[in-house]
Order: sequence, then structure tokens, then C-alpha cells
Amino acid sequence: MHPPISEYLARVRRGLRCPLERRPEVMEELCGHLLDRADALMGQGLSHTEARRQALREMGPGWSLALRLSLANGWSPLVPLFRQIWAMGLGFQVLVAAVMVLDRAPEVQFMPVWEACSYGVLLAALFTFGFAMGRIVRSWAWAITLIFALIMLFTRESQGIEALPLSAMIAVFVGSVLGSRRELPSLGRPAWVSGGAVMLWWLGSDESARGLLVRLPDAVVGWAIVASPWLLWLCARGLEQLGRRRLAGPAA
Amino acid sequence: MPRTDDKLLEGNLATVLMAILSDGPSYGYAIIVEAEERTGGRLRVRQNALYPALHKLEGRGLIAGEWRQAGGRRRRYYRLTPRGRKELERRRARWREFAASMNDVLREPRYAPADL
Repeated sequence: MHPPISEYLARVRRGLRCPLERRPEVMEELCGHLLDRADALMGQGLSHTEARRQALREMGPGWSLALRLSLANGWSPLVPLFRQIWAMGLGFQVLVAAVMVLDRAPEVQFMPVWEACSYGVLLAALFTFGFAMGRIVRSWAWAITLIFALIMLFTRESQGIEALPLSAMIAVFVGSVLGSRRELPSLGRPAWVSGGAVMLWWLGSDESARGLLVRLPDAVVGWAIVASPWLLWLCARGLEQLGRRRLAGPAA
Repeated sequence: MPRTDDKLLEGNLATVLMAILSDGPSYGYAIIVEAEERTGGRLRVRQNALYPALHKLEGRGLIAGEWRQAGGRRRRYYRLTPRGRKELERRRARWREFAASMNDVLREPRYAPADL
């Protein structure tokens, strides 16, 4: 590839914000276009070098093209802002979860609201953990769920921890699946199948079923309080998508 | 040959692209060449607007892309989906209606100012 073209494409690649698997395709398409255009300009009598430079001039600045492509591929300038909110929420959850674990001495009697919140914190932290892991390893959400299930199994049996019934599994599983895929229609089938199997297995256990029934309503309330950054993030994303569709009109 | 106003074209770029693809699958560069040829060079699609518009249409399911080997190079060919075809028909009808309205508004005055 001619150096100016490869440098230009590298600039576009650096600025491009779209799913990782989409990037090589976008870059290959752009590269083909630039080469086609340069060939056509050479046919009009321009030299090899001048034709490539002219093709790049016509394409405009790399950062501008990268921004347009990112927006067309579903990225939004609001995403970095949401990431900040998410990071703050994560920090908060981890902090409170740590305090909760440290304070959970057997002689301490929690008030019901505090207990619900603390349980919610734990679920939110697990959900966040699952989400973060899902984002990192992408389509391996099912593996995270499976590994977590094994850890839970051994921990529960060896230390007698009963505060992690099915709802904790669900938190990690849903988090990891959502983290691995942005768009719901393309959620990994393996994740659903393996996660579903793990949940059924947990449901089959009397202890976890009892624990779920007793704890779930409290946990949902507590989770809603503690996971408010998450809920805000999800609402904002939904509103943003809606707004962009309205701005775009009935079609592109 | 005077060129079409850039802003006017940008607002209708998706329609232009879909209209060209309604004749058969094509790839990015060939689409802008076709647009120029059809209009005798009056309509020139800005190159940095082409792919964002194509990707947006693809994201909305109005066109579909697939890689093919052509001319010694791998090219991403786009074709109009059934949903895109319906959308194009709707846009055609709207455009005709709009153009007719504009023509009515912009017709030559019946009376010259000197007659008033």
C-alpha cells in the first residue's frame, strides 16, 4: 500500500469507534475505495503519487471521516460520559461491598432495609463484575458464568455462605451477557444455553430455591437503590437511541 | 455544468444511494461513478459522506452488504433489501409530491411587475 494511504487509514482506524469485529471490514472497504479512486485519477493522466494524494484530499480529513463512520456505526459522543458514570458506580459498589463484607460479623444484627441494601450491593457488584468481564472477553460470557458457578459451589460448601443463591448467579450471568454483546438480538446463544442450564441446576437445589424466594424481593429493592448508576446508564442509552432514530427520520 | 447544491444532496443522499442500488448490487466507488454518469456530472457525492451513509442504511436494514471478489480486489457489494425497496418507493412518491409542490410555488409569475 502507498505510504500516504496507509498513514491515512491508520489515522481513521485510531479515531474509529465501532465494534472491534467491524473495524477490519470498514478499513478494507475504505482502502479499496481509495485505490479505485487513485486508479481512476491515474487514468485521467495523474502520476501514481499525485493520484493517491488527490484521492486522499477528496476523502477529507481522517478524523472527520472516522467521526462520521463512528456515528453511522452506532457510536455516540455520550458513550464516554456514560463510561465515567459507570466507573463511578463501579467504584461505589466495590467500596460498599467491601464495607459490607468487613462489617458482616455474626453478632451484628442488620436492620431489614440495610440488609436489603447490602444484599443489593452485593448483587450490583456481581452484576458489574459480570458486565466488566463480559466486555473484556466478549463472546465468552458463558465461560464466566460457568467458572463463577464452580467457585460459588465450592465456596458455599466449604464456608457455609448462604447469601449467594440463584439471584447472585443471575446477576453475574446477565451482566456478563450484556457486557459481551451490546445489541440484544445478537446475544450469544451459548451464553443463554449454558447460563440457563446453570440456573436450572440451582433451581433444582432446595436451599437455593428457598433462599431465592426469601431474599429476592428485598434484593430487588436494594439492587434498584444501589445500582442506580446502572439504571441511569441504561435509561440514557435507551433515550439516546430513541433520539437518534427521531433525528435520523424514517430512514438514514 | 452547474453542480447540485451540496446541502440539498446531503439531505437526499440516502435516497440517491437506494435508487442506484435498486438497479442491482454495487460497491461504494461504483455507486458514486454511477451517480455522476446518470446526472451528467451535476451530482457529485462527497466521498467522505458515502460510507457513513451506506453504513447507516445497512444498520437500518434497508440495504445489505456482502464481500465479493471483483476486478482483482475484494469489494463490499451492497444490495437493496425488500424493506429498502419499500422505503425507496415511499421516498419516490414523497419526492414527486414535493417536487410538484415546489414547481407550483416556483412557477413564473403570471403578471410581470410592470403590469402591477
